[in-house]
Amino acid sequence: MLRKIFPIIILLCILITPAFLSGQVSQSSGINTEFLERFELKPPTDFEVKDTPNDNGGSLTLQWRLSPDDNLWGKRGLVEKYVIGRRIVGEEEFQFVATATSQSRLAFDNAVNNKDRYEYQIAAYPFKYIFRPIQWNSLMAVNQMERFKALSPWATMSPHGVVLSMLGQNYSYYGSLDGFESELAQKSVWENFSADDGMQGPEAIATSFAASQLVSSFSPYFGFFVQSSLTSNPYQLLTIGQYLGDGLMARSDVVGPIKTGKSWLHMRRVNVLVIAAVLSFFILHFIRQARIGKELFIRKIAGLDAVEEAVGRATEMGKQIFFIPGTQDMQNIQTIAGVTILGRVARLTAEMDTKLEVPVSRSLVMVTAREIVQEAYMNAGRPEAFNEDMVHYLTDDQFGYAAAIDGKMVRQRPVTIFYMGAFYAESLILAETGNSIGAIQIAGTAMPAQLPFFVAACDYTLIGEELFAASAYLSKEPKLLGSLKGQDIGKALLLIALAVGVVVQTFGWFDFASLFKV
Amino acid sequence: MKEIKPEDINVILATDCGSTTTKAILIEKVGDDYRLIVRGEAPTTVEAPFEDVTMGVLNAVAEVEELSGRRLLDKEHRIISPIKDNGDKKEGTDIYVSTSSAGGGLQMMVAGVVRSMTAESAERAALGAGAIVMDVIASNDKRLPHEQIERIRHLRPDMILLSGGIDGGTITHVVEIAELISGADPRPRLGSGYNLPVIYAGNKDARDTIKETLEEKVDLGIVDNIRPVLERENLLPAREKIHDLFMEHVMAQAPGYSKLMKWTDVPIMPTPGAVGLIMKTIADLEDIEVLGVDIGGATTDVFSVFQGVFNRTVSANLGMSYSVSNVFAEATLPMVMRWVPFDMDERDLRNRVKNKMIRPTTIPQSMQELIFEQAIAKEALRLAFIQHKNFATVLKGVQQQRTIADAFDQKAGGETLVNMMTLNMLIGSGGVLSHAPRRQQAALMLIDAFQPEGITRLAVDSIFMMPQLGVLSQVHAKAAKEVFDKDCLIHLGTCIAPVGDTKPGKPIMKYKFELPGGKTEQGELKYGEMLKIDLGFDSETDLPLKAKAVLEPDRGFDVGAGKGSHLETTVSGGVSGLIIDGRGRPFSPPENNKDRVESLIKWMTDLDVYNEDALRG
Amino acid sequence: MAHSYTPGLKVTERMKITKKRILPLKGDVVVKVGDKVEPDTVVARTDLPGTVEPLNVANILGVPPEDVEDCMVKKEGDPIEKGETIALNKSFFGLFKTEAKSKISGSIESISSVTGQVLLRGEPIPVEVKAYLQGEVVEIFETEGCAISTQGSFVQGIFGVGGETHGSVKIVVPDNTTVLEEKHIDDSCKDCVVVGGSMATAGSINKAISVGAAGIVAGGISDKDLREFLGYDIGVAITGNEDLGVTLVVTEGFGEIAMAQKTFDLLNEKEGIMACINGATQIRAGVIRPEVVIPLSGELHETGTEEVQLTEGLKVGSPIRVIRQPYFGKIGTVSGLPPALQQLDSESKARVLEVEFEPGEKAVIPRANVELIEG
Repeated sequence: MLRKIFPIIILLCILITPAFLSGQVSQSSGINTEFLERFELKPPTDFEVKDTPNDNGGSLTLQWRLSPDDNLWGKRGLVEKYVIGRRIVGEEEFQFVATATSQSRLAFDNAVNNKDRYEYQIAAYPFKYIFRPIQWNSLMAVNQMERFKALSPWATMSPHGVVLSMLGQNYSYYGSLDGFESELAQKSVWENFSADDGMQGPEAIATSFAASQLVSSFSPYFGFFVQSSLTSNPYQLLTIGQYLGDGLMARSDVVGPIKTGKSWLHMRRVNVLVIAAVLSFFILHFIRQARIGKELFIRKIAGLDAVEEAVGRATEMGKQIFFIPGTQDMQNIQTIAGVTILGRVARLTAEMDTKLEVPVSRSLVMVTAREIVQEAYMNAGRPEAFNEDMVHYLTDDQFGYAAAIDGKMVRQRPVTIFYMGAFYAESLILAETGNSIGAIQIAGTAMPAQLPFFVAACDYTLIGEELFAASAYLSKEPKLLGSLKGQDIGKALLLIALAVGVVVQTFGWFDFASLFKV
Repeated sequence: MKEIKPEDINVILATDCGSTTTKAILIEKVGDDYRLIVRGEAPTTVEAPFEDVTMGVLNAVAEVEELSGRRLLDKEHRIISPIKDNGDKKEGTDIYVSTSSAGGGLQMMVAGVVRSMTAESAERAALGAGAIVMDVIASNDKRLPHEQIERIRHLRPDMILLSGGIDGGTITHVVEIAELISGADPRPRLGSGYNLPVIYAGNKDARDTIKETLEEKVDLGIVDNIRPVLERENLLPAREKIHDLFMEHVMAQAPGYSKLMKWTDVPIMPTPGAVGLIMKTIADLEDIEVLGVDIGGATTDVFSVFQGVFNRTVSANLGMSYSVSNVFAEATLPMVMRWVPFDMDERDLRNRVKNKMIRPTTIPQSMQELIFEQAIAKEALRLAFIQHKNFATVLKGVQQQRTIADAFDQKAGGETLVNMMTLNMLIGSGGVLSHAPRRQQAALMLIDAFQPEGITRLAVDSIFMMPQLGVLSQVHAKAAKEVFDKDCLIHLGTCIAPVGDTKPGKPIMKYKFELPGGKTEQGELKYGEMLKIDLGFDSETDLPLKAKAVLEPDRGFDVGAGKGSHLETTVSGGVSGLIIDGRGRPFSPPENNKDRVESLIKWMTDLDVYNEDALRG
Repeated sequence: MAHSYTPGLKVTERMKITKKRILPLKGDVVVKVGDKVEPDTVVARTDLPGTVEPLNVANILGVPPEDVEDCMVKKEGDPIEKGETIALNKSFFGLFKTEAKSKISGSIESISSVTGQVLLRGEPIPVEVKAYLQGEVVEIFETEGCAISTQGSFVQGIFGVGGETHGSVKIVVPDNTTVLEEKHIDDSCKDCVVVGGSMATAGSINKAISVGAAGIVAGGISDKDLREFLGYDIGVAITGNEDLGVTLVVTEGFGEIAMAQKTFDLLNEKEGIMACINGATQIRAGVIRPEVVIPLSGELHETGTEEVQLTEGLKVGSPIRVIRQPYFGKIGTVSGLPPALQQLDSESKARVLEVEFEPGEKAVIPRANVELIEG
């Protein structure tokens, strides 16, 4: 309903406004005060100012009931707009802060801070030209025009001028200006629209309004417009307009003082909250379960179980362990996951007192890996066994790096090699060489293209997600285990939601996706 | 030691000196078969006031003599061996063998480089030799060196087995441990007149350094590496060395043993080592997989032979009297009570358990007490079995070969060897199993605790003659096996348990048994149901009767031939006959208390385990 | 079976009690035969070798293990102080120095050129063995310890916690069936051995600790209270090393069980006399039971008081206590000893006896479940 009217109002404004702009040129003198009093606007009522919810104190919401004059036949009335003023408590003057179009009941004041306390006032601002429809009880022929008498109190009082617009046809009319006060006439306008028979109520008016055509705009310097070539078609005078001054704004009561408040809850993000709560519940639940010693089933990841075995093998054989964290830099999440596993491996080599070598291809990775290895040695209680050269830089070049490692493998014959991180074309070059020297190899990468090579050439391979789940899996720390498990449940729930969504959305039962909109 | 040909042996005398009783058995050749003739027992006489183990042995032998009417002892109280032909009556025995666990058995400490590799191999060697492993020292046992030293000093083992490094592998690690041992300067448990025996069975390249490090402080013996490569274990040399040192040092310290050692024809073995030996022998000869358990007052031993590999574990603090409180603490009250079909007051129960701990020799008088005690036994067995499963694994540290097909099915090394589906025979021994008033109780305890899958024969060794047969198997495997088959075990019957899970009441397997005498027994097994079909012993040979079984499990259930696959086989009976367990696997009693009580009562009455009135009362 | 019943715990008015006091290692015995000793008298002392602290010098100095020997400032056997430099590595003409410092005071035990490890031996820890009993030294074991004998009352408990201590006997309950509660214990119990009736509650034990009582002797204790008091569940009955502030001796068992009348009377008579108690328990082969020894005056070698009665075993008329449900804790006399095995309610067959608790109240109980009350 409202949406239908809205464009009409806009149209109306467009249509009308140019006609009135110049209306301001001259005004004031000789206005019939009696008339003005009668047109005094009623202010908007029930003006309320509230803190806007969910915006963390960023704005205030202003609400009011329309001025009774803003709602004639449910359409438009005497109010052009509403003007909102604001003052900080203690100040005298209201500062203009915003306008709102007629028919609006809501505005936001974003220019507030959450320290000051404010007071507000709203005023209905009249049209410079006020249109007031007058309903005629009968339709007239043009030739009767000069003799017409308005039946409404309004009309009888001041039929200052006439503009006629005839539906579908281009007629003109000349009217009489007998007995009109010219000055007032300059500031008034009548609009007249042709309408179909039986036009009744706001809807019909709106229709005819839209379909009608203003034949000519009103210029205040002319007393009236005359439309020629009139036929005997009936027409109706719908509206008369009268200019009223600015000073006639109708002010509401002062509201306030009010202050913005930090909001606790953004209600429109509740869906996010619910999802977060569900996920957190599962995570916390599983963490608690893990804490009280309940065994959480985590799928066996053979590659990670074998880490200890692989380090042990190197220990028993008195040989070295290589750890290759991939060719990518620290910003790659796979490298981070790889380095996490390095922490675990280093801890084991520290405990078993086995030689570890970590050749890297990025300076940042080197620094991080050193930190992690050192920490692992400290935690294992063997800080003295840590040596910075365990982690050393080779080259940034992808194949240079691969070649250097291959050379080292062949010369030093490590018995255990880890590949954990992001790998590209060097994967098979490394893994095959490792395989040829008979080392136990454990690889882990989320690069789908490289996985087959690792699977074929290594003893164990961590595939994608497994690499990221490694830290929880290895440490068996309740916190990590619980969150891994909780996240898995979350993923499962999302998969279910996806499936349900597809079905519901396909059959159009309801807008399932809207549940997830923020 | 004299040379004896197995075929010349007609009479065998064997004893086992336990910590409380000494048991003697007499085996003779009857026709072509060796059979147990009589057994006798007497209190062990290791401790004051007697302090001579041979007195107990002689008393036990005297009882055998009395019961069999065969003279075995001469006037000087010596065992007559070899046989003397004394006119019409033959006297004495062809051979005499003995085992011993008196004086706390053989207590060892083992050490290796990596806990799950050489240290575990060392542990396996020691356990297999019948020792109690007091502690395992390894480079990665999470203890700091000074803590390890404290531990070695504190424990005072009978001997230490040190291993580590494959041949050509690490030297530093194993030498480091040797240094710790040297620093700890441990004293042996018994007697202070000799140095602690230490066996080195590690990297052969480290031998010289080890010698330098340890030779002055301990009595060092060097044998072949226990783990020459990671892919293979070589436990035999270490085990033999342990037995030798056990004889030389430990036994020699115990009162009377030096005398006893001279009497026997083969070296005295530690009892558990001998039990392991007979189980391995039987498993090898019959090509079956065997699991055995001996639940004692303080400890529970689990033996198994899976895929031809023998494993033994000792759960030192799981037992039915001295350790009963610990079983309770480890298993927790709800786990014990889930096997009890009535409510008992927790406070009172805890006090009862503690009272059993401080007065270990008492026996349950009321049915309630018996059910409760057997519930504890089930948990003790279950916990011991879990430990065993974790220990009996394939070797760790072995390189894997992969193809691309393995991408999503990567199997880890070090998986347990224990597979209940392929298990053929489950043997229980120890008071609570052997002396259960009804044999069905023993069967149910074994089933509930071990949850055998598929088709499994159940037996108890009520007179505990496996140790003697174990030593005997070294000399005369055939005799040992024949006696084992016919006289050693009380056959309880066969448990048939389809593996799978479904809703209670759903049919899960059709069965048909062709019983001897032409009778057939057939029907349908429902989920959650237990059935018992009588199948006893042959009245002539005293051996269990056999029946042909046709089993057709439902889709999703497996009795050994794969899910939903039909199986035809022969099953053997026993005291409890055939027990068909339709409770699914893995199984635990219903959580809901009412359902649980009802199910337990139903199972127990269906299998005739306890008196029904007592259960309901 | 040699015994199909459990021999009871000893409760004796007067006997000769001899205790061996042995050092954990060889050392000096500081008393001689005939010396009169008090419980706190030190009878032997020795020095335990210090703790061993390994130090990986090769890693600390960053040198190969075979060079460690050369870097050592101290040699094997040298005394060292805490913080003292024991090894030094100079490089660049002494420009860079790394040092390995000792973490403990003591001496250097060994230096390894294979692992680079140096073992440091801490200073010896002195150990003293006290007399525990008030009595007389009767035998000396050269360099090992001595035996102390006394004449006195002897009460064996079934279970205890806490080590050796002593204090005067104080009876705080009116009779042997009263539960020992917090209210029974007050400041006058300081340094005393408090005797309770049927059960020591957690409250009473805590109160005893707070007032500084030496020990508690009671008929029973609830497992729950014991767990609360110890902070853990006892898995196997091997105790004696707990440091709890009080030694507890339970004479009958777990739960609320009246202390045997005889025990209670004996302790009651000795009120005010010093008692030596030990809670150490070991229920395994080589059983150790907790005990209460009340040394009494009188010549040690007096004859006739040495009641070395060999247990005659059960006979009709023997006083016994039942030690397992359903008659747990009841005291009665044997009224019949049927020789044949009988079937129990549990369907086990066992040798049983008939017992009469009070005139007319009879029951049949397996022999394994009774305990002879010895005298």
